[in-house]
Amino acid sequence: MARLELRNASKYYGKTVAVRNIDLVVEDNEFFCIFGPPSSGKTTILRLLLGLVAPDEGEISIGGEAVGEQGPKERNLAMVFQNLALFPHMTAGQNLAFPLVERKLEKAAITARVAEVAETLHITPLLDKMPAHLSGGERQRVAIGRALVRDPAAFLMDEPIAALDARLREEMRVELKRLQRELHHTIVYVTHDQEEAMSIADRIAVMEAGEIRQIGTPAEIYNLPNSRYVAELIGAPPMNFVDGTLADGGRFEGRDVPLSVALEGADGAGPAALAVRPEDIGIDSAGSGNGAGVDAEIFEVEPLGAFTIVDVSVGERILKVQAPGQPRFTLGEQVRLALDPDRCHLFHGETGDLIRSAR
Amino acid sequence: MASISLAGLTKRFGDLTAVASLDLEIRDKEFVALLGPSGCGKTTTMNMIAGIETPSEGQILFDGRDMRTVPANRRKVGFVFQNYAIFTHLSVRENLAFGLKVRSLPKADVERRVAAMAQLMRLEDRLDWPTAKLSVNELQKVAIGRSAITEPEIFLLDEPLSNLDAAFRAFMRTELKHLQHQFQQTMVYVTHDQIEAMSLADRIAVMDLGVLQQYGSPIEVYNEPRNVFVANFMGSPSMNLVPCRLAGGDGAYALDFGEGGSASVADEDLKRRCKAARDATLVFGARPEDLDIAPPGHDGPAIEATVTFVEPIGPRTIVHLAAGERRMKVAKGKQYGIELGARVKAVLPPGKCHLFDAETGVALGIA
Repeated sequence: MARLELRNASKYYGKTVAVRNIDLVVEDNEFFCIFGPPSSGKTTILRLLLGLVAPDEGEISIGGEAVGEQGPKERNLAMVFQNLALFPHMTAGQNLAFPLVERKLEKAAITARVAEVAETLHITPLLDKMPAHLSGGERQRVAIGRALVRDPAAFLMDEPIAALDARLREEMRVELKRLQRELHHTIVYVTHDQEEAMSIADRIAVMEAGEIRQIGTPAEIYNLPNSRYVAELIGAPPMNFVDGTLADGGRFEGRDVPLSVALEGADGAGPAALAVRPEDIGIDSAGSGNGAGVDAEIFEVEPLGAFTIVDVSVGERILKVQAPGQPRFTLGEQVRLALDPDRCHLFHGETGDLIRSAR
Repeated sequence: MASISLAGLTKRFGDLTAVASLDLEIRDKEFVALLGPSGCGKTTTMNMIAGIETPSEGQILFDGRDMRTVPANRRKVGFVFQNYAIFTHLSVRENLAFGLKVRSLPKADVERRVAAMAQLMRLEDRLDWPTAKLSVNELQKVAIGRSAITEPEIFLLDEPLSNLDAAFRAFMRTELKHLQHQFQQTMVYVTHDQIEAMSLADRIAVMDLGVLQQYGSPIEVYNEPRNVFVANFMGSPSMNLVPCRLAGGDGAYALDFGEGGSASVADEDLKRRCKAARDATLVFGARPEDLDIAPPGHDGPAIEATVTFVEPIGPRTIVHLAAGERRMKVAKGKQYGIELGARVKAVLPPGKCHLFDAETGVALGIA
């Protein structure tokens, strides 16, 4: 398996920027996710790697070699799409064998390779079935298997499990990760699902409007987002933001929320947004005198079993709190929120750039 | 006032029974979710309540009044579908006003209610937009607003959020719940998404293969599932369900997990209930957040297992375990570190261990 690299790569369609100044190294055997909202340039990166489009600027190399004008075939990358295209008139086994038959491999070699891949994917019992008789998850396994038989330099996957239902998606992402570990594959994986990216990736690149905003491990992206943009995209329920002003000396005052927090290491007075994850806010009974607390009222309660999402109204805002377990609240109940300044991020009020991370 | 009462409600399509003898009481102003996988009969049930489908057998009563002869358009029911039905040639304002205009309300009233609904749905700055220019999320808000504005006594929603992106879905969940508190309508909500059902509903009717499996508050259904289907369907990650046998006798019972070792059961009452199934296999169930992980030397009831996968998902870390063929997940906190391949014990939580009859799937009790 190979290391993939894009250096300063840009692609324009007329005046539209598809991607700009992409610097990206996917290490050998790495599971690398490209995450971002629709049309942020995720798929364009795959198309550039694959050789379906050529960059207007910059360079691409695969396994340490610049691929320049090489076409998709020479690059030997395997692609798995969301809309898995299995041949409906062939059995699962014939579908798996297809790329090898096309390459005119010997029959015995094909049979052996198909058997081996089927074994890895736990689809041996399905080989004689027609695609129409397979479930969505089984079809997706066969589609992945068909990419696998070729022994490509790396796998490119474009939302490969987005069409499956939630339960199956959870199973498949574990399965993909297992495959990648066992077979030592390099995988570039495009998704718009932040939970999927967090779960599966060794590293994630977060895209915005054709550019990379942050690259890091799931923990880095989640705990230390480098901009308000990244902080907003990662995490469900999303991070809470309180707009306000940072005064000299690092004291933040909320605008619509009567909140005043002293933040160590926050420099530069001006408009700012305080950000805190729902699981980092505590709910205390009203009147308890915690330092960085704020009075609030219970607005909505969503009991989800393992945890409870509580909407609290503070000033003119609703904040979301994720409390562990099944605490009971009544609507309209007065409470006090506990905010730990060390769990708060601070972003610039206008640019969204990071002023200070949580500690 | 609008309570709904379904009695022996059955719908057959040829040989297929879509809904089988369903009894369900929905109280006035209650928010009830019909929850289940596709093909479970939830949409057919809703269509019968709306009057779009005619029951093969059974009764539908609104406030005690038989709806058999009342056509759909006379049932005072609002309906929102997954595929938002809005007039694409009209503006947002015209769409919102439509239901009121057909009722020939005075113009001033229409304007006032449209403005109020636009504010509630945060569509004020979109009022004069043609609907063609709206995003999918905004379209669904218009669709919901359009139906809600007529203030029907019963509001039926069929997967209204399933086409929306995840972040907006979470936002709309709260909006819908708040909407219902304001309007005080009876709401019936069809969904296959257990999180939506848990989050929104006063009570959840869990359905499978046309049959009602359990009816109760979200927490009841979550904490005390009546069978394996409900246990497995509620919760994400879902409840761990692993086969085991009840072994021993004369006051010294244990759950035998094969390669996972065995764990003694303390609950006398449960032992009595399990006795009937003593030689048969049971299904042991525990929620990922209720299991704990301890080092191999740990004393007390536990299943011995190996760590196979670790998923860091924001506030939680999901640790996957294997004990031979038995697979389990344990939900731990943020930044929980553990090595792949580590030998551990999955500690059984007292009072939160579910046991089911392996053959029938019926819950035997909680230990």
